[in-house]
Amino acid sequence: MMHAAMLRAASWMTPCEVRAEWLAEWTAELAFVRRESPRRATLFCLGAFRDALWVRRNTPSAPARGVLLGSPARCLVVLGAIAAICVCVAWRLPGTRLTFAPLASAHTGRLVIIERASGKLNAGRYLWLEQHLPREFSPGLISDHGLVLARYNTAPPAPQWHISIPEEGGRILKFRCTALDLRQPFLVLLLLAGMALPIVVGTTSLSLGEYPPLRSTRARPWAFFAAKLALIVAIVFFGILDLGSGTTVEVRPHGILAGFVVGFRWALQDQRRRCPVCLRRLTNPVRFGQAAHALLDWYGTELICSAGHGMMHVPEIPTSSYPVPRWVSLEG
Amino acid sequence: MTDELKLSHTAAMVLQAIDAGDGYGFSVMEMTGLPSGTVYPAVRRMERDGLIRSQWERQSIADEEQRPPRKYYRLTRSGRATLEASQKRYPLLAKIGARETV
Repeated sequence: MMHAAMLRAASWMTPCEVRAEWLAEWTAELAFVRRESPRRATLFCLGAFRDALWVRRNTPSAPARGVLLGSPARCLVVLGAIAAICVCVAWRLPGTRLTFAPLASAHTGRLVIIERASGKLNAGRYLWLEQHLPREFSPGLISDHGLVLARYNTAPPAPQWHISIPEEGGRILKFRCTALDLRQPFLVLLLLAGMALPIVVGTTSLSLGEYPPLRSTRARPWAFFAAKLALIVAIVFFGILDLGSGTTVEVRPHGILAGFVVGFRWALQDQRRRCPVCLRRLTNPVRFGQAAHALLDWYGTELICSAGHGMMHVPEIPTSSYPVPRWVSLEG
Repeated sequence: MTDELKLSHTAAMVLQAIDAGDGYGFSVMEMTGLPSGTVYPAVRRMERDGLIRSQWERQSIADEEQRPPRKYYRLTRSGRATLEASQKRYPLLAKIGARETV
């Protein structure tokens, strides 16, 4: 069962048009390995991931693939729609909304979220809590879906602290108080984006390729790139906040950082695969050369703009003819 | 005259194992001692470059052994020429091949 699951998971890395045959081949081999050498089955299945990755990288793109993000307008519309959904969901979730909802300046720096240290605070407890809050809190609470917003009379003593309120009958209820700092989310956003940049620099080339100077369209690719980055920041930030709102473990900073790294890398790779004139995705990849001649001759892939603006030569390895992808214009 | 590919030692070993054995992926692994993550991508590269061709075995063979049909590989003419060139380049391969046939 485990081995079949490993092969199934690896098969998701392969393009869908070859997936069935790839999985059939590996499943048949696994059946033979299990019979002949069952102890090697796990190591055998681990190799499937590497093979699946190879197949993915070396299968020519089907014409339909990438049609969703083919044109620059459609790419921005799709990214914008995803960002809008993430922001709307963040606004609907009470915990996340409290972080971003505009509040009167009189409350800035004094608002505190109160929640049970363990378990949920149900609606029946709100009135009791209001009557038994320590004197440091102002009367009046705002409550929604198990979260209570209260106002501290002075600046909160710490970003987070606990209070204990004795109940009738001798039981002591513990509550966790979290100071609500409206500036915090955006500082965190800037900090995490800054932390993601060295990781991106260390794991991928920042070069977008060699292009001849294009007088009329120089600003357009940069504007498109900047718009993509802005939308990716919004998608990752609000998306991870949405996903992390239901968790008890604080996974959001790590998730946002990882999301920024993945998102920035995708933006760079996507930009390299676009025509600098019309910004459409380049198509019809054709492989040239041979791996054995990588150091002696041109070895890489050539992509073409479907509108006929030019071709992009992408070297397989940096030492093969060009260090970075090179654009060759076909316009007069 | 065809321009033969220059193979690495590992790729030449895999090609020789396909020629010497029954052509299944696992038997290449057994003969060369290489892991599956090396053998299968190498085999696919060679098929892409026209050195070998793949074929699914007959259903009857698989049914006899009560297992799914497997894919096996055979050298093409170009693959045979490349193997001979590799054996000249890597004499140890030629010696191993000669010892197996004895």
